Amino acid sequence: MTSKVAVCSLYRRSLKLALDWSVHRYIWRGQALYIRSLFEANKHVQEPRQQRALFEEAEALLERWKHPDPYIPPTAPGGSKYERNIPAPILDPPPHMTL
Amino acid sequence: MIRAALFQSVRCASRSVVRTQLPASRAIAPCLSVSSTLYTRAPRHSGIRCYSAPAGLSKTEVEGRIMDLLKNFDKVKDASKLSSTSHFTSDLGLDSLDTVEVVMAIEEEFSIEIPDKEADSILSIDKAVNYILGQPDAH
Repeated sequence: MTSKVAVCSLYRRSLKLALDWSVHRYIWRGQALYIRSLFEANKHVQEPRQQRALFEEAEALLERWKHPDPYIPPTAPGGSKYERNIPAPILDPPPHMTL
Repeated sequence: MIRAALFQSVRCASRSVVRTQLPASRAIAPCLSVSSTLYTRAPRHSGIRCYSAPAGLSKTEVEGRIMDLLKNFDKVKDASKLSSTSHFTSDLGLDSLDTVEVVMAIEEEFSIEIPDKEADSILSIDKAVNYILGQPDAH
């Protein structure tokens, strides 16, 4: 995994986590700008060791602020509408048996 | 408009009830059949679509909404390069974190949740449109 992908994943997860805590988007936008500024501040770090330290720091922050009841979309696994009204697996009647 | 549609469908329904009763009532009241032919036959109405019914999104609508979203995104420098196939980074000049923000905005616009794996693969407008069209609960 390249550092770019890792940073994108971290950024996305932090935005999602902020959205979990502040349910309304208009509250979330300010937090998103703040998160963006934090990521921008370390934009030019090229040293892999420093990068790893930053990643670990961000992961620790995400773990510390983990939401107890995160928003799960209804049709996603764990959501309230997951696997609701799924089609019946077997609709054909059993074959006629002559004994 | 919905009141007119409701009225029309109710009228259709009541007329079909009259029509089914016709064979029995003809012997007693032959004028009933005359009165039913007095009405000009309305074009058959398919009933009312409920608000809960899935409407389905057309491709042009999805595309237009995503384009409007990107037009209002202040980091898109050259709005004239916006087209149905433009790439977020190479055409619109967004960096990778901006792409994440765009995907979040698309999620908000269509009120769906895009899993992280699919979100990484949405890098251009046509990919986003195809993904939205594949989602049954996008609206």
